[in-house]
Amino acid sequence: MTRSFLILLLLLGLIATGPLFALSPGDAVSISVREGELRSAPQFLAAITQRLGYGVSVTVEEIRQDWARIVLQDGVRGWIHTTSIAPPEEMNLTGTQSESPGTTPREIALAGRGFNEQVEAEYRSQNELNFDRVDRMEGYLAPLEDLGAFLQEIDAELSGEVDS
Amino acid sequence: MTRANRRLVVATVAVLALLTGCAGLDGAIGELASVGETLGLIDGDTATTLDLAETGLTTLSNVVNAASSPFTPEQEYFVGRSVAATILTETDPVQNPDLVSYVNLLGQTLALASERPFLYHGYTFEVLDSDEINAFATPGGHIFITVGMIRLTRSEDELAAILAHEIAHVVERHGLGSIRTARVISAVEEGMFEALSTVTPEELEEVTGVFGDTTADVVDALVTRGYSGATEREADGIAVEILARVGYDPFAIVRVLERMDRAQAAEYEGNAEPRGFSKTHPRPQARINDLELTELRELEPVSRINLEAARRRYMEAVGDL
Repeated sequence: MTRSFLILLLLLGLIATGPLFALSPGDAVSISVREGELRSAPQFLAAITQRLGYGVSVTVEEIRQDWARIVLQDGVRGWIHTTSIAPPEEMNLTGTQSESPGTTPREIALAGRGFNEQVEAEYRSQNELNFDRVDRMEGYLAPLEDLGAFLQEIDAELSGEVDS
Repeated sequence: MTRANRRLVVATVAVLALLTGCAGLDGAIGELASVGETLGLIDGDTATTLDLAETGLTTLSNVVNAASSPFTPEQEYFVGRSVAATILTETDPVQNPDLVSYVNLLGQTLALASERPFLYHGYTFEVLDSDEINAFATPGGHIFITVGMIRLTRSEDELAAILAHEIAHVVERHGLGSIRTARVISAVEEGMFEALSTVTPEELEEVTGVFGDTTADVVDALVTRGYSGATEREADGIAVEILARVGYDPFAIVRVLERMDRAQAAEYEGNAEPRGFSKTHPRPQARINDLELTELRELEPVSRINLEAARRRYMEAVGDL
């Protein structure tokens, strides 16, 4: 096999798998949601054992489908959905994503850094927008237990679960 | 400058642009061209040509995909909030807690069946008090559906089809793709984000300006420009998958699109200006044609739901509308 063919294969592999991060045991990741819920088992309705803030660093120990068993720095373990965690570079925008095909220029990533609570406050002071209605809307978030009950009413089940 | 030299400079710029990655083309060429011109390496014409080379790359859709968003989940959320505030300032939400609660339970359940069940804040749904037929989603997971759109549905799975389509736009970060990169790039060129921990009032002012532009771009895409046909096709395809995963009939999307198509045809017969979804979406019949109906037939719902129970609660929440 020639070297160029190997490189081609490698490139095709990159494109096929995409730049999406593949989680593996041992990976250091961060919580990517405002309130990450650590659960006792890899299921949407398993008991919540701890809530973790945005950006908290954890280590992946095991992957089961869409769920990751993680360990906190203090040794506490639990299960979290993989869409609630992300590699640190996606969180602090160090611009290290450029090795993936079709990714982000570092400049744009840096630009995004400015959008936070402080900027929203400034934006609100300059524009007469009804953010109270947004706050009310965000309050409609239902507990997962209610969603489970809603599905049960029609004999459906929560998807994305695995047996613990 | 000789033709050979000019070619050399153009080639160098192209190689540099490639080295910075495909996405780096956006803005990088113009930047290098202007540097080249300033230093006298290339003339104005060449600089203009290079500038033109990047005009095709005007929005973030060229660089954003589900896996490599330039925005952190937190920033998506803040952009989403300001987009939602703009929409909720323009249009009142309905005062119907039972309906809103039902739409939220249905929508949030569908989101759990998506590829991205968890967002920075989560998915929340508001019903807009408008007769227009429309629905849209912000990058932060705020999803809006009008009374007019809900009235067009006849069952829980049809309403689910509309909500699942909007969830798909959030999952795939389509809203962020509508941001015009140049504005963000220009903000960077001014160095306004270098040290936000010690932000000056002037810097805050500038970042807020970019934040406003970003919000305006997304609002413009949602209510005026719309996404590309390909983007809508993608969202329809994902919606069908979500429906099947919960156990709803994937054909529900076809039924509601057919009704939307008839509503649109009636609107056009009256020579009305396109409103709501008509302004921002491809013809519903074209969307039906794009759905692979044969594949749809093979898509078995994962479970059989209790249709009678679904009908009862749908009628209870939506019946009086």
